[in-house]
Amino acid sequence: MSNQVVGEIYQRIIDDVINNSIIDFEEAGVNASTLQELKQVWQSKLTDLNVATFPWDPPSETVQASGSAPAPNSPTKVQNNNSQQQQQNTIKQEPGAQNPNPQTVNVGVRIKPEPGMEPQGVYAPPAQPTGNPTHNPALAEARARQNLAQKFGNTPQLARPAGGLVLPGLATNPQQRPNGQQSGIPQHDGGGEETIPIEGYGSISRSEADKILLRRISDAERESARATDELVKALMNLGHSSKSSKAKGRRRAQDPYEEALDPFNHYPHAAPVPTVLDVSNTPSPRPAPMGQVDGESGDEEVVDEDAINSDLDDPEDDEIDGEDDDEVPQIMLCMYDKVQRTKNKWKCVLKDGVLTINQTEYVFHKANGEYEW
Amino acid sequence: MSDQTYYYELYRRSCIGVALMDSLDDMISKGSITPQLALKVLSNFDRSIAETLANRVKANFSFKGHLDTYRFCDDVWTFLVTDVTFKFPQKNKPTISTNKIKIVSCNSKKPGEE
Repeated sequence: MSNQVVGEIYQRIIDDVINNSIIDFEEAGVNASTLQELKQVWQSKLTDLNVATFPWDPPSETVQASGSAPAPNSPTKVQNNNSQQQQQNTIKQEPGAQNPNPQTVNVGVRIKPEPGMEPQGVYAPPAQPTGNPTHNPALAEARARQNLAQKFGNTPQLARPAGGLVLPGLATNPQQRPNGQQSGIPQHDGGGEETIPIEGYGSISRSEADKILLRRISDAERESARATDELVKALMNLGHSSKSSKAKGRRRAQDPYEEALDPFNHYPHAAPVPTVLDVSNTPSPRPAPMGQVDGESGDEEVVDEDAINSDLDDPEDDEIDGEDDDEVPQIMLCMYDKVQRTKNKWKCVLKDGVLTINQTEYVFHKANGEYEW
Repeated sequence: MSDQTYYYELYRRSCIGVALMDSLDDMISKGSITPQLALKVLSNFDRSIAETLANRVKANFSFKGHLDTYRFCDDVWTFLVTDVTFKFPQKNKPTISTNKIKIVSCNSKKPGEE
C-alpha cells in the first residue's frame, strides 16, 4: 500500500477513461474539447480533495518534480512529459486521434479556445483549477469581449485588440442618448475627443472608461453566473437536503429552491412560475441516477412512517459511518476473496482496493484484515 | 450487460470517482453533455479503475481492529471497524491508525464465475 503510486495510478485511470470516452463523445456528437474540459475539471477536483500528490499538480509542491517532471515553462518539455505519460498508457491512443494537448498537463495556464469551438448558445465558463475564477483580468476582458460580440452580432476578431469599444456601425443605435447621459455602453466613432463622461466618474479618458465598462460587464456577468450557479446548486440540493436535513434535524428556515420560487422574493430573478410548487411532490431534478452499491441512495429515507425502527437503526451507526458531507469519509472500497469467522474472530482477505484514511488516499492489491467483534 | 463483462460500480464512491461524478454533474447542468453520455463515461470509469487496480497495483498490507458492525447483503460485505491499525510489510514504514473505517467489499468472483 502506498500513497506515492496513487497519483500515477489515477493519472492512468483518467487517461484511460478519457481515451475510451472519445468514441462515446463522437457518437453523441459532442465536441472533443468538451472531453478535454472534463479531464481538466476532473483533475482539478481531485487536486482540491488533497488526498494525494498528482502528476498534474503544480510541480513546486510535488516530489517527483525534481525527478521526472521537467520545468513547466518550456512547452517542448511539457510535450515530452505528456508523451511519456502517453507511453505509459495501457491502451494506446492511435496517433491520428484527438491528442490531449499540452494544456491538459499544464493545468495552471488556460488557453482560450477559438470562439468557433465553443458550443453556441451555451456559455461554457472555462475549466478553473482553482477556487476563484474571476481574479484574472485578462480572462475578464476576454469574457467581456465575447459578451459584446454575442450582444452585437460582431465577431471578436473584429473588435479592436486593445479592447476599445469602437463599433462604428452601431453609432446610430437607438439606445444611445444624444445628450451624453449614458445608460448602457457608450458608442463612439473614434473621433478626436480624449475624455468621455461616465455616470459616477465624471469625464475620464477613453482607456479608463473602457476599463470601467469592461469591469462592469464582467461584474454583471459574474453576478448572473453566480445566480445561475446558486439556482443550479439549490436544485441539485433539493433531492439531498430534503432527506439529509430531515434525517439530521437541522432544516434551514427556507430552502434555496423555495426561496427562488417565492414570488415575493425578487432575488436573483423574478420567480419563474407564478405559483409556489409543492416541493415535496416535485420530482427530484437530479440529472443522472448514480449507482450506489450498498444501498445508501437515500430514496428510502424519505418515508419514515414505515421504518422498522429496530435497534439496528441506531443513530450511533451513522456517527460511526462518519460520512459527514464536509470531509472525505474514512472508507475502504475493495473486493473480497475470503471472509471467515471463528467465534468472534474475523479474518478477511481483500484485494484491489482504494482506501481513504486521515485525508490520504491509498491503493492496494491485497490486504489481510483481522478483527474481533 | 449480457454480452459484455460486468464491472462493479463500487469505486464510484472513491475520491477519483466522486470527482468524476461531480465534474459530469457540472457539465450536465451546464448542458454540455447529456446524462446518457455521462453514464457511458462512468461505465468506462468502472472498467478502467477495476482493471488498473487489478493489473497495476502491487502494494499490500494488513490491518487489525475491532469490528463494530458487519453486514452481508447481496454479496456485499460491509464492515465498520474501529481502532484500526494498518501495518505494512516494509520494515521502515510506520503504521497508520485511525479510530474508525468503513469497509465496503464486493465479491471478487463475479456472478457466474467460479
